[in-house]
Amino acid sequence: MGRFLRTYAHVFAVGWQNTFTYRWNFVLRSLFSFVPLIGTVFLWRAIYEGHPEGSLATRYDYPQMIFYFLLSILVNLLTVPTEDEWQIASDIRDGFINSILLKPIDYFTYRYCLFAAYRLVYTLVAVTPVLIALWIFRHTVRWPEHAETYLAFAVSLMLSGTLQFLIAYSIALLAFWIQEVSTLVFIVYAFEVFFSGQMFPLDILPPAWVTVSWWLPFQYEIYFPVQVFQERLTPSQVWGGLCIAAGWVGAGWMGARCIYRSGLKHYTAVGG
Amino acid sequence: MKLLPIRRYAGIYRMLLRTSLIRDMNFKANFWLWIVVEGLWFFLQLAFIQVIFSQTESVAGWNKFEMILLVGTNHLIAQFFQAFCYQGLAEVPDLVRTGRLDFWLLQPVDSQFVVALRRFGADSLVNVAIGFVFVGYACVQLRLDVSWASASLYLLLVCSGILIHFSLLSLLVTLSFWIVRAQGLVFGYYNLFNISRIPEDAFRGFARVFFTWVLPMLVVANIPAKVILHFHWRQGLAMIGMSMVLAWISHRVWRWALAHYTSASS
Repeated sequence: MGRFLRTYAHVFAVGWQNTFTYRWNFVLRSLFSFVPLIGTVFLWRAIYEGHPEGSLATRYDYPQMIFYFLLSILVNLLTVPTEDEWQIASDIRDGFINSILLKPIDYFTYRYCLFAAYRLVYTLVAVTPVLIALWIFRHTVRWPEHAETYLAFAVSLMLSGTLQFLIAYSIALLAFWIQEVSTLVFIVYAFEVFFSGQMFPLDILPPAWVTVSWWLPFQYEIYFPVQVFQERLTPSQVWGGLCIAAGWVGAGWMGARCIYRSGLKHYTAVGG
Repeated sequence: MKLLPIRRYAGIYRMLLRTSLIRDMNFKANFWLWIVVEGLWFFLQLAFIQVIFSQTESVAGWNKFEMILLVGTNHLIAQFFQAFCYQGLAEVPDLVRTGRLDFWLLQPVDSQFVVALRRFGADSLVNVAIGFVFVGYACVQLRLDVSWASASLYLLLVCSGILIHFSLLSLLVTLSFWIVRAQGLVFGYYNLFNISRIPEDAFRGFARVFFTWVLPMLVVANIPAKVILHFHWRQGLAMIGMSMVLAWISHRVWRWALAHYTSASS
């Protein structure tokens, strides 16, 4: 166990150092990720301003809506894989994975450690802009009233990050069969953007859509953790959501393992 | 800036176009899939408009079909930009990091021209057509009587919008001469498209000034849409002037930034 941890702690450190080598890339990228928030704030302000109070047919007032988007940016920064799918596909396409296959390292765990390292650096870089955004919109911030909400939020964040990583990892593994996976990445990403609640809170959709999205994996990426933090769910809904998210993580993990195993059988180690 | 010998550059561009198309045709499935991807993202934006207008009747004075006109205009400008210059510019950080930029610098042509325009994405043109269809649909729904003058100015402003995108991304990727790995900039540029499809009247204060004069995202699609809606020709002429000034600045900065390029290949 000690050796296992030492090995992957080293992988984590390599990922951490690699990210710091190109720190400006990360700083700029994290700063740019706040641009949509600016657009969103002005767009929703214009929507709410066009209506006398209470006439807007949503379950959110303006501060709640803005806080929803602040939290969704935060959850996104903490959990979304950024370059992982491109790097995994490139590992396979260019043959770098050969050097991993020859070592006593599990490729999934290796990549997961790198993902965790990138996320940690990203989080550190994004702390300042997040704090600035929270200060600017401080009148919209409503901290949870119950201590257990923080615990449920932390669990939902871990499930969200792992789920997103598993989706990215599984799609990238298709590089064992096809040369270019970027189109597939963007197709799945389009569904993720819509059904994860990045564009708007899902409960402003008609009820049938809300029910469908409850059973899809995407809402557990952003919408669900944000709903947990905003305490908009009953305890049974929180438990139910965490169980479904955990179920998707389990299914995703098994699916990724299957794809990896059959991909390896197909792999011809080009470029190694 | 020296005037480019147009015939020579047209010949070079024809060759770049040809090699790019031959390259794309080697990956036919990918070509069709990219059309699906871009179309899917556009329909996502339309779905967003549908959701917004299920909650309200107007956004900053823009009704649903005016918003479709704006989003359609933004889409066709973005897709034209992707077809002609995005791929070439997006690869600049990679060319700098690997030292492959040397090859293009050694060619006896303007390096910004050849690096930016060497890739052509024919798949994006299909989405340009989709954008035009939705702009036309919005015009019909709004019962607009579009004159030849406003249609011509609109097309000219679409070209100006492409030139603004080209100049801004060119300015951004020149940063890669200093920070080497600047892929974050390229991905980040996608986030700016989120601003350009929002009505400029929704923005206030510093943000409005910033996204009009510093990163003119509120100009790119809003002004052409307003020209079709209300024939704001003065704003149109100002946008054309702005795009030309930006193109000139981006060319000067490109040449200045090249002086800081330390090839990674040797």
